Amino acid sequence: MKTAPRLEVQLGPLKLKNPVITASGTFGYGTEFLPFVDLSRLGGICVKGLSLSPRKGNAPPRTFETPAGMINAIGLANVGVEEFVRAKLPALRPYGTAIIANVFGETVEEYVEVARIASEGEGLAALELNISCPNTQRGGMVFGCDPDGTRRVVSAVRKVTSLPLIVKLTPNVTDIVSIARVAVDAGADILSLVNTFLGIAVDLPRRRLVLANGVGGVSGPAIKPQALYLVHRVWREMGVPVIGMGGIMSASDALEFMLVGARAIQIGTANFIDPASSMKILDGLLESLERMGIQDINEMVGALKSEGHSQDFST
Amino acid sequence: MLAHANLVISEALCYDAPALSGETMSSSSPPPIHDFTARVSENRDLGASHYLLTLEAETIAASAAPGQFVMLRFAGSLDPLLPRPMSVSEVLPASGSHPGHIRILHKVIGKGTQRLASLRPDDRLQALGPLGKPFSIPSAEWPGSRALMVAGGIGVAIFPFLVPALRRAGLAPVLLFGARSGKDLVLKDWFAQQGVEVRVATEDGSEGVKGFVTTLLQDAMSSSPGVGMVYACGPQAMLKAVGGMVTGAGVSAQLSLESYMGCGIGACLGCVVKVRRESGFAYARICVDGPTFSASEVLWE
Repeated sequence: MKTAPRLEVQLGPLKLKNPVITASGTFGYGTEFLPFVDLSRLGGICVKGLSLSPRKGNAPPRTFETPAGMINAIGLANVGVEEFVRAKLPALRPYGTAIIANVFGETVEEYVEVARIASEGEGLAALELNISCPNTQRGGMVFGCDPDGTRRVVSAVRKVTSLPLIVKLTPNVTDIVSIARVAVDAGADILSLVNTFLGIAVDLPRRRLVLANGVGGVSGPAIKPQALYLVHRVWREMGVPVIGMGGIMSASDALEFMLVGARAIQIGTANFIDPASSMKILDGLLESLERMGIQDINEMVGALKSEGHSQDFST
Repeated sequence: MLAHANLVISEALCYDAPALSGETMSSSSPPPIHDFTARVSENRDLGASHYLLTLEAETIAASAAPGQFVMLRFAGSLDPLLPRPMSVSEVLPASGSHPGHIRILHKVIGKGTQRLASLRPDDRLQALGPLGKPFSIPSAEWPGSRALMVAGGIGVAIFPFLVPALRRAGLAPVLLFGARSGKDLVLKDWFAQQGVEVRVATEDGSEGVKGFVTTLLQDAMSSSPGVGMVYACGPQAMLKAVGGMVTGAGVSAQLSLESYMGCGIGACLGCVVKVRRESGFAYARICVDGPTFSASEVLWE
């Protein structure tokens, strides 16, 4: 009898039953998707970014469709880390899926405090440090764009948590590898990339920017080639596991990210378009592997045939 | 992704009002949301870029309530990418061997509605719904006997479904319909055929009163007593004006808000509106906390 392909992946200290993770900010606190998704089948759930205090988020308009993508400036609206640990985390625990808390602060001290409180939550699988949110005045990308800021915040958080530490990188930098290296040196176990690309949308008749925040983050299929490139570069340069994301809409997209080096992937914008996307991508992965005769999905990771390319990716 | 119009809610009746209308409401656990492939039965060109789309949608027809919406999308489409929120305009219940259908009134505004306009019978599209908080229908004890439906332009799309529910509650529906020009007064004849009293205002004066629909509302509230509830759906400026007028007149109103939406199920937090809360204000999600809001609850920017 044929056995189903093996989907389990190991990212440093973090073991996932499969590489499909729902991305922070696109999947609420998980339970919103119960009508559409069997949460127990997911490899992981990255919850909405958590801050020390609850945040209302930005004024509307917060989202707008762009060609093959969307732009958002939600502003990290969330219930706060304490409410998450008290009410949201227990609701997710029974599903036996890796729950990843995405955490955020405006100062190093806040990052540390949020990470510490989240880490005390029973049943949490990992922390994802958000040093890449483009939609807040302070914190977030301010840290992720600067090697010194990255070092300070990652090393400080590393000291207060024994959980697997994922650092989520912004693409809005000149040299993502230099930031990735600092993050790993400071204690990151895993890198996830990419967060959204900075962008603006223009309301032509009104001669205004569409989003109340002005600037937003672009996601969706429009950013897939850029995201693939950055994942590939970081994977080639760094010796740590990489979680890839950016416009993944199908199992084929997911496998492309794995081929260029991602050991797991995150589904983001696709959750908005079809709330069952994560399930369809997971089913699609199994079907694709069976069709290709591949027994273990890990065989796909970094399995790109590189001969024949004239361009060296290291630059 | 431009969310389609929806309306107001009055504090008194609101969310747990008895569902006299017979529409689904009330039960403590949320009704199921269905995501399925719908077959197009008809896509009628009503002129002036308006279309009336009829979809075979058994599950939504069986469970939708007036004021709710669906998210429509084209499978595999990357551009347009996001589903489009559309009010359920009318439900044609299943009968005999005919499955239930829903009707969606839409107007070509952008890429998504352009593509909706191109649909032909037997085409397929994906539908997710029913979504959002329905209109509340006043109970029999409500003092008024008339319900005013205030529509601005394509906002009229939400009202055909409301008419039979109001009638079942013993209320006489009156449509106050404002549009840019007479040619934009789509479905006006439908309402008249249903015996609904229709009053019209156009900005260019080509039909009815010259001016905005708020002129009609002012007149209706002052000249004829017994208005039990105002329902309104249309552009934000209209809803804001309606909200101010009903508050001044001591009449309850339910506003159906529209917004750009990402997901329609409360996850993306993209479609918020500022609302009054004990602690000051909050951003409520139009897709799940609305689209129906009480006029007294919305804090206009």
